[in-house]
Amino acid sequence: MFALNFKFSVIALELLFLIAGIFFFLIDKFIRNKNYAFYLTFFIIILCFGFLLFTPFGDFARAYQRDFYSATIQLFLLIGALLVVLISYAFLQEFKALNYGEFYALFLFSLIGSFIMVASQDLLTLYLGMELMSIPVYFLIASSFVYNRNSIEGSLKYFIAGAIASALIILGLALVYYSVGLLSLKEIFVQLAQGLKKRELLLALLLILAGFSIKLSLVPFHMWAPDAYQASPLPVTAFLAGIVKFALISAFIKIMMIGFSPLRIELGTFLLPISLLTILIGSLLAIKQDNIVRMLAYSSIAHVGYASLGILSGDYLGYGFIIFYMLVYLFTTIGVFGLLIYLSRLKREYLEIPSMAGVSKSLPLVSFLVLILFFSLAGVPPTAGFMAKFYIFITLLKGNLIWVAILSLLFSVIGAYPYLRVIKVIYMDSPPYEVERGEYAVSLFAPIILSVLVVILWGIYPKPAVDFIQRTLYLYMSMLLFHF
Amino acid sequence: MNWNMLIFLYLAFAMSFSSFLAIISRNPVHAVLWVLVMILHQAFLLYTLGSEFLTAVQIIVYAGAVLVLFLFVVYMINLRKEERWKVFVRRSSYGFIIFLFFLYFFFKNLAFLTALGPAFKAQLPYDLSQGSNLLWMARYLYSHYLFQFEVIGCILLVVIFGAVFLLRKLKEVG
Repeated sequence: MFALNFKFSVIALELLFLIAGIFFFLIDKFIRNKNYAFYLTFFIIILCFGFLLFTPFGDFARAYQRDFYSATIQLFLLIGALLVVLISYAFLQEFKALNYGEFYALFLFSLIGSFIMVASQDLLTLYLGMELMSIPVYFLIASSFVYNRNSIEGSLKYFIAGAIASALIILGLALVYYSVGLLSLKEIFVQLAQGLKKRELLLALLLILAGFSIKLSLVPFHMWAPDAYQASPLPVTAFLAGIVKFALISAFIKIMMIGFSPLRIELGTFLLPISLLTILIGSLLAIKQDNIVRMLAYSSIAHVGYASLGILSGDYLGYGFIIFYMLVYLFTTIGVFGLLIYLSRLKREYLEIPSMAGVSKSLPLVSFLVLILFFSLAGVPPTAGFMAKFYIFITLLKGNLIWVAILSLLFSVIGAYPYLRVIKVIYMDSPPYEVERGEYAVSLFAPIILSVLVVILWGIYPKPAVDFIQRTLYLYMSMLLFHF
Repeated sequence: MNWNMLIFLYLAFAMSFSSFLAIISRNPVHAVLWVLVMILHQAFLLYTLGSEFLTAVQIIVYAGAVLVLFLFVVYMINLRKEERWKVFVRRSSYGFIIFLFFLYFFFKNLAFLTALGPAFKAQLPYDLSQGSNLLWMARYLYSHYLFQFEVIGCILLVVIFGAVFLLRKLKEVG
């Protein structure tokens, strides 16, 4: 047996979240004014930014490692979580029956899971982190059954899809354990680099990919996504589309970077049709939707398809660009869902696209923010969405996949239609009635304005952010064998 | 023929017979009870192989928890209509063909499958003469796999919390 170290300072963030979550569950029954939970969660997340700077690098029992990669991804996840908590405060003021301390506690538990997932050193920890991330989300989706009877159905669909994903991933883990004898990512790399057990490990990787593609709603397994998105409360949808997918993609990149990196060309050939189909079907089905949340669900399917294009070429530059893409998508989604929360507080029917007609006459500021964020989702030049797609296409061109780049470019033209339709309805249709203006709550508009600023800034000058991510990946790869 | 072989043959016969009866019995409660018989025999088979922990898991988890869940489902769903069906699955002959297919592969790869057990035993990272399976498992669980163990604890905690959360809202909001 080798020496293990149990440095609790390494997992300080997770411990803090755990204590806070348990505290909410203990105390919530006795406090009448439920806003305490928001203030406490906000304070804890702000505290965690400090913790993230000062926690030492190192590993906990060789399962959890804080290093350049995991610390950076956790920083992005924390920023996303802060924005989601801010927009959910405004949402919960309107929907009182959801306003419990447990709502925030389940958020925190889910965050623990995503943190563990991106920092895991072996596949077992990764799988457990994934479960810990998903299970609170099932409850969060089901919790809105007071307002929306369909929410239990959507939650159950997500749960069953998640159970199938777990089964597939565990099958893959069993195959890895059979062929390597350990589940650690570095051991898998050592085995593969010697050219041993290549067939078994490829099968295992494909099973793991199938499990991940259910969770990420890649195409053959995308059916649960629209129902679950529509059924859940709006901040939970933002969490599901932004943070959960970001964490899943970065964990999969971690698997591909260390563990299975000798198999990345083989994986690319399998992933190529999946990602192209994902983009096509996500874009095509988004055209028909009248409910805007459902439309955004299909668009999130398409966006994950674009992100997975970066894995195809199999170079580390592409992995960094995927993280940039998902980061831009995270900010954009949270901004869009914040605006939807504002609109749905004014009038419940605003979630249907035809009834948004002529909103720009009475709400010029909100319509302009919607315009910028939807341009970013569609990939129109002065926004960050364009730069993110541009970088992904650059990786494709570098990997000599020119026809894939051309095809996905064509699909992105199809994918632009649903966003432009919303903008056309808002700006060009005549309003059937006058709309009264709601107040601009600070807690709701601060994250929206921030995400819009980020989208514009990175659309004009993305270099610092991209360089930051690429430098992180470079440092992580070069320090891989260094024991902190 | 020694005692080991006799016991194994009895267990194998009992397991296959009870699982067959579980499939063909019309009454769902009877089917569940036949599965219980099968699981108990399976537990004993694992005990003869020297893995006492798996025996305990088999009895506690499968016989104790999973089958009780099955019984709940059987009681909750009204199966009267299904019981009166002459044939439950049509074209079951296709299933028989698939069964023959699997049987063929089983016998074709028999040598490979029988070599799997000793290969795994040779790969074991611990020495069974130094302590029982249970002891080694406990040692690993509280040292190498401590983090994973704690994460599983967290998952169970979250599940309990979530169930309580939903029920509390059902009570307070309606």
